[in-house]
Amino acid sequence: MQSARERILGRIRKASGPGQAASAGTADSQALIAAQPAAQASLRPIDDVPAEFCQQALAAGVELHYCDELAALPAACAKVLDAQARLTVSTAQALAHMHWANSVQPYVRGSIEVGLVQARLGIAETGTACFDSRDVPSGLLFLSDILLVVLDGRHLVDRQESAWQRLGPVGSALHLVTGPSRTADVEQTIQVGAHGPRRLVLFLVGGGLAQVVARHTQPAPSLITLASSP
Amino acid sequence: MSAVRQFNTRAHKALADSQLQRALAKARSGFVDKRAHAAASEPDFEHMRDQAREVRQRALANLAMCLEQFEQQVLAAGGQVHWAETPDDLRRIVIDICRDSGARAVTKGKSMVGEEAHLNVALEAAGITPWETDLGEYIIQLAKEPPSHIVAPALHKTRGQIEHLFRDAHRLGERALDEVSQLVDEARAVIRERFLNADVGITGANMLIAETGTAVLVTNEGNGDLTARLPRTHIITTSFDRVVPTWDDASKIIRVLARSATGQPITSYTSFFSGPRAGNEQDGPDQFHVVLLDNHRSALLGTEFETMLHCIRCGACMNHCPVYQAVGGHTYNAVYPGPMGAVLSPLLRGAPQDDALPNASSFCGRCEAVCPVRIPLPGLMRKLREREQQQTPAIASRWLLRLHARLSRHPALYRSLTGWGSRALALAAGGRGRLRRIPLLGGWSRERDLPAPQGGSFQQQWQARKGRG
Repeated sequence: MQSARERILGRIRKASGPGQAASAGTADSQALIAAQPAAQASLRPIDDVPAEFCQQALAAGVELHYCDELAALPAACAKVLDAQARLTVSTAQALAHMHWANSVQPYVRGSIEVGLVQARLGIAETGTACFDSRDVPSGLLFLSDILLVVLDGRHLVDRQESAWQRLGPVGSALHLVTGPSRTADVEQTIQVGAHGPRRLVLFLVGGGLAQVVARHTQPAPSLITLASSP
Repeated sequence: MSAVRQFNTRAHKALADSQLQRALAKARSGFVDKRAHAAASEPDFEHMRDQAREVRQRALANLAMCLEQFEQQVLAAGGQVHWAETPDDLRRIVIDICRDSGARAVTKGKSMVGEEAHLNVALEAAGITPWETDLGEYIIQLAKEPPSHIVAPALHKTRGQIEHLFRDAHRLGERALDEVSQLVDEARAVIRERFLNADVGITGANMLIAETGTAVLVTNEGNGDLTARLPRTHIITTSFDRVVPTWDDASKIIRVLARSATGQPITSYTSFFSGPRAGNEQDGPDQFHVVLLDNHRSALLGTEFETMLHCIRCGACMNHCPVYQAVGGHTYNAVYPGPMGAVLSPLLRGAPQDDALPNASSFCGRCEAVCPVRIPLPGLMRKLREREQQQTPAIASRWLLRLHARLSRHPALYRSLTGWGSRALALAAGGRGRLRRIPLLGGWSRERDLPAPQGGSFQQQWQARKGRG
């Protein structure tokens, strides 16, 4: 007797004709799967990647800050947190060996006040941070009330396709995070903090992005200052 | 009662339901405006739609190969793939896995395939408690109702109704639940405990990626990730048509999915799951199962309905449908409502009551205009109508149409009859110029008057003018 697998695949092959003859894993199938139609034009180029990243992240509700170097991070974190807030730092990363103003708790699945994690990459087109499950336990990203994300300013890419190329093989989960957790299930009203973080604070570190971040996070100059400039 | 009459009865009830109408009015402006804004603020949006459609076409054209590759990669990563021909098979497979894991309670992310298979009822019957974690799904689980929308399952509920459900279920005492934020916090606290205690997590998948055996899950709440990554066992219930060849292909779908659904460039969370937890990872399941449902989908391949399998479940077609907007999802009495459901439900379920669904359309074409992968939904509905007409015995209105078709092949007879007809109507209208009631067409004339013909027929007037010209 045939298995359900064989019956379903049999029906699929029968319906789709001879092109389905190649079996998985052969060079043929690899080539066919990877084949992108040549005529397919690419999307518009993103010229200023850091600027696009900042703009999109802010639009997604991310609180954005800049540090010149990793050593400046503890002071920057202390500025955005209550002194009493307890910190949980992902242990597999450089952050684990630094000293913080707030008390540090080990990661335990439960309610976490503040999670501090380092992202692999930032994707400009949507202001997204990428996390590999080999670096950061998934729970820390989703159980923290406030999530502090550290992202190297030199690890920004334009679009998802570039991110896949740059990341290479990843762990059992890759999480793309764009802003805090939210829901619109009660009367289509957007409410932040559904199950995951209520705040997402992102520190871009290095890459000479001080001006770009400042331009996007500070209020636009008023008309009076514009008028007084030559 | 006929399928059409049953639909009409439900539609009348929905139109008279003031709570439902209030909920629908909010959804109408919300979804439509947000998508319009997303489309207008992305200059490449039309281009993105073409790319997404091309991905769906290429995936279906190489479906068997993509699925074999997907299966191989899941196995290589230490996971398992199960094939379910029917909803019954899917229920049995999921319950067996739960029993093997010694599960007494499972957390669930939103899965339309799970809804299609009525998984919760089966889990409960097997002594396993299903805990829905998506806020909308949680609300309708408390209300013991099916979803009324594929993206926003509790779209039909008002804030007041949700407050009542929570007060009944949570023993809240005097605590205030007036604000949306209080309702969301209440659900967050209750469901948080469940994330931490569940033995098995069951989610759907928005996509499957063949090249690495990866399931892609898109959420705004983060409930899918907590369901997938905290319990010892993760089960993904989905259908085989979700597969795409590569990660680059998945990106093309992601770009149009949230823009079409909620007007966001991307949802808060997009996660890629490839097999069980690896050696040094702290979180992630020990067991990773993917259950692929067929349920008549393979029978659509190579037919005129194949493009329906391109659907990425964004819900834009129902958000923009004047019929859905007026009567809501429950009127369709099917897991998949709105225009996509009017095509998919008869094809998957094939129950007699589904014959009414392709008729619940004004054929205005907005569903096709907003579909991110450009599925010709009105065309597919028309084909289903034709199929139904061929199968069912003729009713009075069709006899009348046939009579009219015969008559119009005899111009002289037609002219003389219309001449007599218009004189008779003018006479019946008396001096009022309009008819209040028309025999045999009571339904039509209940809401409107028929203007009586003034003077001769068009052809008579044409002849007269030609004489003058």
